[in-house]
Amino acid sequence: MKDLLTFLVEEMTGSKEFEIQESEEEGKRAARSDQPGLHPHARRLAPAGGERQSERFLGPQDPRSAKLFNTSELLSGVTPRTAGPRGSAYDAGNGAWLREEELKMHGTRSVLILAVAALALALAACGGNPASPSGMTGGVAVRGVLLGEGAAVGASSVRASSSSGSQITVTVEGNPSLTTTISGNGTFELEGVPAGTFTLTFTKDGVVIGTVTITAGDGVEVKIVVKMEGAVIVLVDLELEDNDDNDDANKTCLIEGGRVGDRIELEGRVTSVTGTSFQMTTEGERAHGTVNVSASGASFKCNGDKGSADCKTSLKAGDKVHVRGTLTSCSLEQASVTATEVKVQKSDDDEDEDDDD
Amino acid sequence: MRSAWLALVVLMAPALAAAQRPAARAVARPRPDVFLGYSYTHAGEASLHGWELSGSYPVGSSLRLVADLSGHYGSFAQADLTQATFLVGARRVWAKRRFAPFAEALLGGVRTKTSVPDVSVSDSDTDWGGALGGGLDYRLSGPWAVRAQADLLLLRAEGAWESDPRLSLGIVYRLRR
Repeated sequence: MKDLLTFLVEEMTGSKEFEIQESEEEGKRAARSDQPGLHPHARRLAPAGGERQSERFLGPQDPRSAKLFNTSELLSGVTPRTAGPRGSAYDAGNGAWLREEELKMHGTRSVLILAVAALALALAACGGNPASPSGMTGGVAVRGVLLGEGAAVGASSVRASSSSGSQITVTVEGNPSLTTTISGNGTFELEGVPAGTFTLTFTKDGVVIGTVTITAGDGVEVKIVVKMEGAVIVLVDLELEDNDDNDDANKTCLIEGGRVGDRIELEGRVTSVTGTSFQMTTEGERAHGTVNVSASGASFKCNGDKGSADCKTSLKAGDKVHVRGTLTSCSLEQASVTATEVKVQKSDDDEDEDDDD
Repeated sequence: MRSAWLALVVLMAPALAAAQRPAARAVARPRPDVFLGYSYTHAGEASLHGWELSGSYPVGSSLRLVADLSGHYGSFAQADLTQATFLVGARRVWAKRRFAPFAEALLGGVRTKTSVPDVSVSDSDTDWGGALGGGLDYRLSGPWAVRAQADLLLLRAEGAWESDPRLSLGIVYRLRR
């Protein structure tokens, strides 16, 4: 920020040429008025290579002149020993007399610096929000949206919130410090909610208008959508998302993030084959364990030969497989998948046999 | 947020007071301009990205009338959020060489739309809104300039005024009069 300010000040005051655009008429008027003693508005800075800027100094009787001297003395603590040009002030820092133009430029510089500082402050303000301590880790994060009274499933409608006239707060029951006000666009956020079962209480004008009870583990993000229905709040949608990669204690499935009913893709090596089913082991980062694959309805593809009839029957232990399907059950020891597609990369032994042939 | 808002006003106050003093010399001839740029806002708890389009017309050496449109989009929880602002107001500019800091105050409307695709619910609302803030233009060659701008977007909702930061960065084209 200091560098930016330095650059700005140098750019604005360390001028080699001035770039001021004027209308032709203004230019002529200024040229005519380029002599001492004229109104400040009539004077102008000369463009590079052009006529010199006029220098009109204030007389010693001019109160502004006296004020400038006094201010300079006060600021610098040094009283000029000799009188400078009329209307000028002594800059003790640089040991030079400043013309009226330079003095005014100093004032403008302060204004600009203040404006830049205000901008920087506004930028900094973006990061601060006491209601949502983003740096907070651990616990459960609840992020939700409140829809207006008019919102309806399958339809677009106009919210009636603006007529209701008071704000709604969300509090974790039994933990009054965990509270937030629902914002104008309906969003709200609570972080650091203790894991386990907790109840969100929606309050308006001190009256409870709805509660939602949620069970979530540590590191889980709860995404909740509620809507106003009459004078009460009803739950529209709720989703739990596990964001904690290191939370082994809450894992119930050997496949990370695996949920029964979800589509899934796995890679591993076949350990045994029984009819249209086979067992495979996965040793990736996402899954580590034994997976039973039901492949009766799956399409097989062997080393690029799609639909090869031999591929399905030739599957054997040691083959590397890529399985797509649906997770039908899952525990920390075993999982079951109903496959829709199986890609088989035959084991090295088979390739050696082929080479021998 | 309230303290930042207050500090912004306090900091801008001397600049506004200084603006009342007569200019020392001729200033650049003001021209209408159009700004288009990327814009970010933290609306409520959601971070939204979008665009801002504004135009200003000079009504004096340093005062301008401003019309401002912006659209911000994003998602939060399971909802897709859209916020559109349409504001008009005044801007005070302190043109100095290549730099032109400005402060502005705008008033108008803010339209918010929330939709939850999973359950096909959509909800929209239009409220009073405004913007207070400022920015800095840096003049490039010809009619072009770059602008950085920071505002506090004001939204009148549920009987109370809320303020959200809005940051914009883009290009300015100065029109001929």
